[in-house]
Amino acid sequence: MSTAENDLQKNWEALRSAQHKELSEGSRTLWRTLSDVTSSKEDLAAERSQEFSHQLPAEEDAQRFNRRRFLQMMGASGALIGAAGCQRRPVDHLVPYVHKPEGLTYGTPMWYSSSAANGVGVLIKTREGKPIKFEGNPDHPVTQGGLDAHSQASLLDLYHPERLKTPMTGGAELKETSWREADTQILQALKNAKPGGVRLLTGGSISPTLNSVIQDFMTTYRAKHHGLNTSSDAAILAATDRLSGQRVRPTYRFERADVIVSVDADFLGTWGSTVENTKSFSKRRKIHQGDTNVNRLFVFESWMTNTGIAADHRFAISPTQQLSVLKALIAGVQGSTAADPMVAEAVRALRAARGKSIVVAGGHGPDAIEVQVAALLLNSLLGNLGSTVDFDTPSITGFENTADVADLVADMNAGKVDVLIIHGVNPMYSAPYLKFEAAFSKVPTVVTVTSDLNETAINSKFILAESHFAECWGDSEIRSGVISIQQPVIEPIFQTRSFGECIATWTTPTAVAIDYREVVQNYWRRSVASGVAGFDNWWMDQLKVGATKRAASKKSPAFRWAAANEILNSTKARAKEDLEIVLYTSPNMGDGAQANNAYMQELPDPITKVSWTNFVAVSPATGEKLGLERKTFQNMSESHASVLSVKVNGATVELPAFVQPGIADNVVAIALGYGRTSAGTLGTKVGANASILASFEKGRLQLSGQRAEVKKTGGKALLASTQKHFDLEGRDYDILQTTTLASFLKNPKAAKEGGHAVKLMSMYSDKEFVYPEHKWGMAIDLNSCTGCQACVVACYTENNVSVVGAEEIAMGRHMAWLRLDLYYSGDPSKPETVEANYEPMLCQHCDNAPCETVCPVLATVHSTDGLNAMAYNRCVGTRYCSNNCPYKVRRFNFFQYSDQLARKLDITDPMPMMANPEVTIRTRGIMEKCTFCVQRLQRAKDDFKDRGLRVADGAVKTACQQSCAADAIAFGDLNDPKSEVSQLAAKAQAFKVLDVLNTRPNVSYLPRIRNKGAVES
Amino acid sequence: MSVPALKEEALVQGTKTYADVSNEVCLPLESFPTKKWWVVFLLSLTVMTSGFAMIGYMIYAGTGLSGIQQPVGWGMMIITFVFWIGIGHAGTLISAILFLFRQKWRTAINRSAEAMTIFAVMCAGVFPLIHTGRPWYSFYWLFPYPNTMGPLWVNFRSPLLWDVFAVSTYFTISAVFWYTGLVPDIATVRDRCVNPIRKKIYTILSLGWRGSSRGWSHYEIAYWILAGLSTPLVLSVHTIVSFDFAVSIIPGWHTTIFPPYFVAGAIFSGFAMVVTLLVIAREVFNLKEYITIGHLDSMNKIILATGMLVGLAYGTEFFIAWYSGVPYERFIFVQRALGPYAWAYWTMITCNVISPQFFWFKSLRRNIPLMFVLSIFVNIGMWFERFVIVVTSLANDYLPSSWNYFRLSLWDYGVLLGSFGMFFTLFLLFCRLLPTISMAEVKAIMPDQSKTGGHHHG
Repeated sequence: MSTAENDLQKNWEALRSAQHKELSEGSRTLWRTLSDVTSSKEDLAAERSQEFSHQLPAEEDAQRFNRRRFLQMMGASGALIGAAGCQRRPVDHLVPYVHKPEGLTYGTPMWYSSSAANGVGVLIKTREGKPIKFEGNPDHPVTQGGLDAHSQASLLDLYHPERLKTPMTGGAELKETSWREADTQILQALKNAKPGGVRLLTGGSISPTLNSVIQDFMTTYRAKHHGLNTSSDAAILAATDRLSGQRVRPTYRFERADVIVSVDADFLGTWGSTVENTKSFSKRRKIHQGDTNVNRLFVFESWMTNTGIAADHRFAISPTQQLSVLKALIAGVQGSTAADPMVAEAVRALRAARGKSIVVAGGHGPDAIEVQVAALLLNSLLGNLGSTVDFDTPSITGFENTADVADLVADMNAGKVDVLIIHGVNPMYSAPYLKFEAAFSKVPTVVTVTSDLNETAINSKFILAESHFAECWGDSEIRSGVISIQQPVIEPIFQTRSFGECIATWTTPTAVAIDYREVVQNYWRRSVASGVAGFDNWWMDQLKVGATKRAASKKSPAFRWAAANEILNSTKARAKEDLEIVLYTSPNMGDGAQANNAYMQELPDPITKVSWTNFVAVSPATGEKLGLERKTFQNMSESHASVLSVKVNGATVELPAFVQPGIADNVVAIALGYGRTSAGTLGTKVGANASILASFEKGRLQLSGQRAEVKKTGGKALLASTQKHFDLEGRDYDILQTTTLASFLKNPKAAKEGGHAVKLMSMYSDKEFVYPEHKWGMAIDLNSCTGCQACVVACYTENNVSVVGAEEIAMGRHMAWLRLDLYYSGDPSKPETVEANYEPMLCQHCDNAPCETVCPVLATVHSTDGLNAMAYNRCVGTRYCSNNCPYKVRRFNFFQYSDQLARKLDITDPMPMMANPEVTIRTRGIMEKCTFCVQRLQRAKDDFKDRGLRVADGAVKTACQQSCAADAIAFGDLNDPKSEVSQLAAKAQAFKVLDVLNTRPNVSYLPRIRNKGAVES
Repeated sequence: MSVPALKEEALVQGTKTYADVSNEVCLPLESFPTKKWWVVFLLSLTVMTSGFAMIGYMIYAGTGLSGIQQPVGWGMMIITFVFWIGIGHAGTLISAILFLFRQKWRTAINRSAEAMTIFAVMCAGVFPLIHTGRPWYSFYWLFPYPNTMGPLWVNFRSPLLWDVFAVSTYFTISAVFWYTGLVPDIATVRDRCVNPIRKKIYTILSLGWRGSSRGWSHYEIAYWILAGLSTPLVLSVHTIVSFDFAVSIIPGWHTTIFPPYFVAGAIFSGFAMVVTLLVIAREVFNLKEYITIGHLDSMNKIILATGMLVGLAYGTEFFIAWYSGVPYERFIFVQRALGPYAWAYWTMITCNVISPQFFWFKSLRRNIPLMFVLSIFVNIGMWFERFVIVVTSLANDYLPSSWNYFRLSLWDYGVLLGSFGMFFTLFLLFCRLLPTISMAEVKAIMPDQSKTGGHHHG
């Protein structure tokens, strides 16, 4: 062992000495680097001596980039970066709930009852203080949970980036001003006005408080209140005035009527209070719910309306025929044998339903007042007054006590008006026939209270930003005695005020800003004080329930029927013109106030499915004369249509043509409400303003019946539509079943006859389709649906569905999850034979879903409660699911559509606040579709689970179902045999669309049943 | 004594020695490209580059630039995908199936046909990816790989997934098969190389091929095996592509005839494309004595046969649509022939059914200008066949409310053109970089030089 140790020791020493030798002598036997070998000894020694002797670099050696320099530079650039980031940011308040507001849980919606601008009862859903959805208030006695498309879409009005945000002064240049400043100046002007020099021009005000505030204002300033009524009620008020001296608009109790005759009155679309009409009308169409005592609707109209589509008997007449049809009905009802076979069946039906029938007549045709007189007389002859035509609790139009607008224009021109306050109307746009332009210049102070910078506002001296109904206090009285408090759910987002606030402020001597809630409360304290124990309780109940009844102001007019006969006898029958114009109110655009609302522009016209423009509708026969093609229901809409120029009374409008079967042959129909010139980015220059074709003679507005000259211009224009083909191609049995009441009563399966009702054997076992808990399903009653499309807008707002614009729609890329398909039948060249039926189409949530099998990445799968679910973030966008969907209800994001609106508007705030936080905003490149409002289902399931219960039937409503005024949609659990939807789906007449494909849809449809009377026509 | 009338035409014409074959086939590789080549190449490259730029912008801006819409969710991209996959059938068919059937005339054309197959499949492969809404996910979410997204797997029931497997398998096998066949020839090129860099590259590419008997023996076994593997793939790829349609429930798609119909159509279009390319290649690279008129004649016969098969399929579809009694099927077929897309349908019939009928006549089968025009006609017709299938069925399916008319957008045209640019760019590069004719195989079918003294038919 010691030898080995010695050896080791020896070796070690040898190595050490060798190293030492090398270092001292520079031996080259051992080398470390190449230079050791190659360099001379001197060099090596010099190098070695330098090895660890480098001096630290001197401070002066500034050219070299050293560590210190690096640190200096880094410090400096860091500071510069910091400085660059020092731009001023707007201050945002992110206020946490230090003290949790009572009853509010973060992430849980709060609901408030209120009243929409048109008096429809609403429930406003708020999340974290933001209103995100308007729904119908089921407790409202009149509208009973229905909500129209306009009110649904007005959510966007609240958050519209182009809303007026501050009061402004007009003139040569628009300038922002403060309310204080505006109030002072307006007050000054009011005080300086000569007696009778202060005028108010408004639309229909149905707010009792506002009317009382206006009353005070008028007393204070000896002002006069004019109303600009372009609605169909104007003629009714004028007619009752003529016959009784009272301006009163009866409530038409459609729910009490067995027979309804409408002459040009689109009461399911634009005539009167449509939600109310739809509600009461559809109550008598519930065949599938077991009530076979259904109403029977006769419609005589010039163009196609939803009322015409809902009709059991529809007749196409020209506007000049309206009075003669009514006269023929009167003669028939009075007992003479009807000469006109067209009215014979209607007369028979009316005579059999005395006291249980309604005759309604429409708007602004030729001899409009005489037409209403005739309708009133007819109702009186039938004994309908007091039963179906209710003058005891009349509808409130807001024009009962207003002075005529024509007088105002005359006074303005005569220089009698010093201050004109305008609210709710836009006469510069909607009433060009009044020639406001010239008269405006003679009024020193025009004040317009408006939410957008419309045509009238930009010509005003003061443009006052108006609050949205969700931002301010108010009330409404839609029917005499039916009141609803409008409670705000959010502070005004901008510096805005309600019209009532403005008027009330100016009524105070020094224009002190007032608390309008107190004004409303004070009004009701006075009004309901008697008989109510404590006002505060009453008030709280009001806010909770949202509507109540008070005693109606009974003012049943005493009619002088002799005068009616006199008027009718003295009115000569009009000659039929070769081509007669019909200017109708668009169900979507209304008076044009919502032109800048993307939802209403995107929403297709219910009949033609054209969106983002109006058009000239002519019948196929007329179209042929004008050189337009298309005599079938096929390919009716083209992406670029021929432009027609329509000349009436010297004014001309140019618009794309739409060949529309069902229109009377000598009629040219154009929708009003389009062609705004100052409506913001979206609404300006969309379509053409047809109101310039209206005539105004002797204080009477006439929108239809004048002679029109039409010719092709040779040009083409974009016509974006969501449906192009309106022919069922003989697929009635598979797609849309219809029958008549008589056949249905004989055989509930009558609608299915003629179909290939062979039940093929399935290779699939039923065991595949077992859902242990719930199985969500829907039943749609085609007999109740009126095609109003409120459901479509409800779906857009609930589910953050994107608006895509005209070009994309023309490509066939609209994003609606729920659409209303329309199919015609009959002979398109014979308007009287044309019938049409609606079919709401949405994801059918098939048990055997064809979309699910083909998705390569499992982005669409079936849930355990029977839903066809979409996993957006898994979707890669092959579009195979959409191809394979026989219902074509899937919608693809070809672009980043969720930004589409913002891109068009340039500014986006505060629009993002509108989005429903419970629904994902979809990104581009993915598929989306109806989810049955899965967010609502989940919430309901959670709520019931907390209580240890099963979700009760009716406890959860989809957005479309909720807003449906016709109650055409039932939704619920198909696993529960007692649920409404199960009962409907189990009906013998229920059918599923394309059942033959064995997709096993969970949406059942109930056939459209026309009540053609005892005799089949 | 052989009967002169039955004497087979020589597969290689002229009096060639083995050295002539090597010299002539390698000539394009060893000389500077001609002006003609440069013009065509730069043109193709430009078209390809602009096509890819358009694809890039589409990915940036959105699939909506394409003409697709509701209800026609598939448009140019899927049409062109199926078109290119179809083109990609001829190569493997020629090399594998004809090889197994010992059709010696394949030797002159199999190399370029296989190259064409691979390039066509590459062109095809671009489309399913870029047609999706989110290509940045679809390029890997379509593969079943272990992932962190929970127990998330692909949908094995979806024909699109089968496509992914079918096409990728086909591409892999075709590429390996092609490359295997190339090895001896690359070695020849290597041995002729003068430039050291060039030599290095070809040395690597030739995988150490020495031409030993053992090497040849292994090589031939491998080639047989690969031919055997490729053969079912020729049939499976287009069968599975046809499942994209056949498995759906859309009228006009939901038919069991699709697999054989698609395969026949694919061979039809593939052969037409081979004819198009070879007519040019033999002209430009002076290979007329290798790719003889006899070769082209044989191919035209196959075009005629498959064209008739396709025509039979069109007829059968119509008959079955009527015979089935399904109103939707009947409607869609009447629509195809008489509806808004009748122009596309009759273009297809003219090009695919009528135009090959000229090939009944031998003189026309051997008429170069005619066959060139007809082969292009056939390819136009086959593109329209896919257009008719994809578009007409979707545009007019079950609910008439959704019906719409489909148009290609400018972007569609650009990308479609770009794919042709890509195809020709790759093919032109191939012609310059690799021997376009399988020298080893051609030499094997030439008359034995030791006996004939280098003279044909001595």
